[in-house]
Amino acid sequence: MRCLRKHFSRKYLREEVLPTPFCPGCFNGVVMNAMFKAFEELGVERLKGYVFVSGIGCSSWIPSPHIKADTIHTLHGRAVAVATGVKLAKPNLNVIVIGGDGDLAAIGFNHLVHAARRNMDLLVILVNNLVYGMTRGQASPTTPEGMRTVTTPYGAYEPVMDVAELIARTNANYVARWCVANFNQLKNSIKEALSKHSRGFRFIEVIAPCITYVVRYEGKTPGQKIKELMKVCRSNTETPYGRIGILKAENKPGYLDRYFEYVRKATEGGKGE
Amino acid sequence: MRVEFLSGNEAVAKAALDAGLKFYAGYPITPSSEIMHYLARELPKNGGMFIQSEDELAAINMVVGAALAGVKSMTATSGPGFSLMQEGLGYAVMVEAPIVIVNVMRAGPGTGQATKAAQGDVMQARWGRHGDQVVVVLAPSSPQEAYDLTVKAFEIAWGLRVPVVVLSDEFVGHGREVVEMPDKVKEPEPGWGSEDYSKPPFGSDDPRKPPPLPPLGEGYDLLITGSTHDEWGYRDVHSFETHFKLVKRLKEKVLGNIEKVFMYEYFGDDEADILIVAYGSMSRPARTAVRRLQAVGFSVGLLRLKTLWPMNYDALRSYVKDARVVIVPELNLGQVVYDVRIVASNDTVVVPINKVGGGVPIYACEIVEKAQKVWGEVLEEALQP
Amino acid sequence: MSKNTHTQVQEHTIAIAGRGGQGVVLAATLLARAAFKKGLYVAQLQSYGAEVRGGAVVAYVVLSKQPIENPYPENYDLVVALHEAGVARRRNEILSSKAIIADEDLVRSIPKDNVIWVKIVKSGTPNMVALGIITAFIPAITEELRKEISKLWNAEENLRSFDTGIRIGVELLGKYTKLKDVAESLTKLVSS
Repeated sequence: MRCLRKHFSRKYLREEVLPTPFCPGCFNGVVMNAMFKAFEELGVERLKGYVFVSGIGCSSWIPSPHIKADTIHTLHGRAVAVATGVKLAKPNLNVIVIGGDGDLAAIGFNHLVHAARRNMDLLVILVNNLVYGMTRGQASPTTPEGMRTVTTPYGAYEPVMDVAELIARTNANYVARWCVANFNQLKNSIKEALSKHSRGFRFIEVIAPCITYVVRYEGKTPGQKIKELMKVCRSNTETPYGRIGILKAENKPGYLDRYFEYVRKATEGGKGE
Repeated sequence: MRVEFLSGNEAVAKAALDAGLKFYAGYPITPSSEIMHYLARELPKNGGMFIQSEDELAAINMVVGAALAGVKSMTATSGPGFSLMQEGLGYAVMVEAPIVIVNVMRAGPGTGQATKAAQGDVMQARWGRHGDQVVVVLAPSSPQEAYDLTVKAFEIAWGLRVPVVVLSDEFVGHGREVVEMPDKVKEPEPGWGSEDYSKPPFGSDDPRKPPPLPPLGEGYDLLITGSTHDEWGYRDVHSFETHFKLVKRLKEKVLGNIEKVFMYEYFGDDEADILIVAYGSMSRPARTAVRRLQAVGFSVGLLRLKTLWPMNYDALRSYVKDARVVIVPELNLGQVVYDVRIVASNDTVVVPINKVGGGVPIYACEIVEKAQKVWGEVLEEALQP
Repeated sequence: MSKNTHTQVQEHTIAIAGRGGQGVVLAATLLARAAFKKGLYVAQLQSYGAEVRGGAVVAYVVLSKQPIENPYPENYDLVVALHEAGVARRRNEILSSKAIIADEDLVRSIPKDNVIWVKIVKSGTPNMVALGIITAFIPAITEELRKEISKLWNAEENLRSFDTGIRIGVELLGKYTKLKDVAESLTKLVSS
């Protein structure tokens, strides 16, 4: 019976761990769905040869334990560093990092920006939920000014960090930012980052406000929020969350291309020192 | 046999290459940088990967990533960098990543004295991480031993899937000596050579046997996490049983193989009255002190520890029990002396010699003088009515 | 008595004390490498500051026919002192050494009669002159050292200073009997 056919994404999931621990209505599901659609449309049947690396946070749970592939769940902030080690040790693997704004833009930003500077051959998906959602919704570097959280009970007063713009200013090959309301664009970006732009550093930021600590505090339901995001993000490129769209799409040699070129020089009688 | 004139740092780098090193990530820091310089030159030409990381946090986590991918990997650092690596080291324990970390000790805390030798990181190497865990700590005393113990470090790391710390110091690292190296080193094998990938990657019926480490990308769908996990890697951050079983196994995996891991050397008289317990660079003036004391008629011996953790307290006790006086010279304010105190009886006089900073060693004459003085006091006390 | 004991360990130490930038560590390394090539067991250690130039530097070389037991000697057989900074860093060790040859312009703190005063720094490249003086005590390594120095940048000038040093050394050996004893024990290492 057609109505009982399994959802296409099940083949990418460790079914034994379902359901996910995400709150009802959590936009992590949208990100997962977009990613799996991208794999489906790319004709990837089994994620052999893909390694997913994540740190600590709600979005870091997207790959670990849910995605049926090699997954490494690392320390808070260190996903990009571990992913770099994996990629350099086994250059033929596809290494994808999924993390949140706290993980990648706060505690792990040094690794993120240097991986981008190196044009390291990684795909990094930043699920920007605007707070530390897993641990009671403390303020993060992307928390909008004025927003009340447990660590900014009188309204956030620190200016916001625009992660995608910062990464776009580095040597990274591909940078895009989408809202969860831009489902097709997000899916296409992931597809591009795995096909047309499959080398160098690829960075996709997804604006996915935390249902529990952002949307609920705004007094909205997930449905109302996604409608609002559709309005804000589908018709404008300038939004309160920064510029939406593909900010950069290049195809420069990635870190590995350059490293192997360096090795070639070294072995051709390079003296060193 | 290759015979070369090498610094301890160069010897470490050479040993790592000989043991099959294919990945190095590191951040420059005195006095360990020469390890990195050597590998920056040699690794790319030998089919390996070298990366200068943005900081030490990155270095150790990159090394963990590479090790999990199935590649022999290492990083080297000193004092402040080693402090930054502690979290990553604990993660490596939890995911059972076979990594080697070299810490060329300098005087601390803080920035301390960057170019001056010290032995102050012993306790940190043992206990620097949060939570219950055991890593292996080896302490070379010379460039020769820096070579030998680095090879050994890879053997233990891959044999037991455990991080191994090579605790060198500035004297060993920057001192140059003649080093003899075999023409070929047998590349260390995972699980001492017996790996069955059908078995769970994070569990084992025999606590002495480490679980297999299937390489990434081969379709094993590995589930690796630094959170508490069951034998197949599924996160379980709630149950007592899962956590207790895991941390106990991680500890027993190492302690159950203590015969393979704990290395030491004894020099001097059997059942000596005066025992010197020393390690690393300072075990060498200690040896001279033993000879000088023997020459003037003392019964004396040197127990030289090559492994500082896990400590084989039974072995230590078997030497300490016969001694009336135990002298522990260390380039710190007293760390390994606590191990001696643990096994010493009330009748044994345990005397630390502590000195640190300025790049000044503990001279053999200082050990001799202390031994004679303390022995005199012990005799005097014994002769009192 | 004791079983596994070397009754005699013959280890000889040559030290150079100076200031960062004088090339003290380089000189000690070259000396050590030349001795190693002559088949000796060698240990070469140094103490220097974090700065490349200007700090106190002491470097020394332990030589033996057997594997080195202890590379941390309490005093040295021969010290060549190029600057006060290095002398101050290892004062006790230097003052209790068998023979001290010091630069008469830049070393101040050693009691006059303990020391043989020479113009070193003003005679050429300081570290190469020092190396030459030391080589006069162990002539057997002269050729190996010359080879090592030839590999250096500015080899010609360095070799000239090296030869100046040898001349100074030979002269001193003719003049002072206590230096002769040191030279004899060092030469014995390489000869047989």
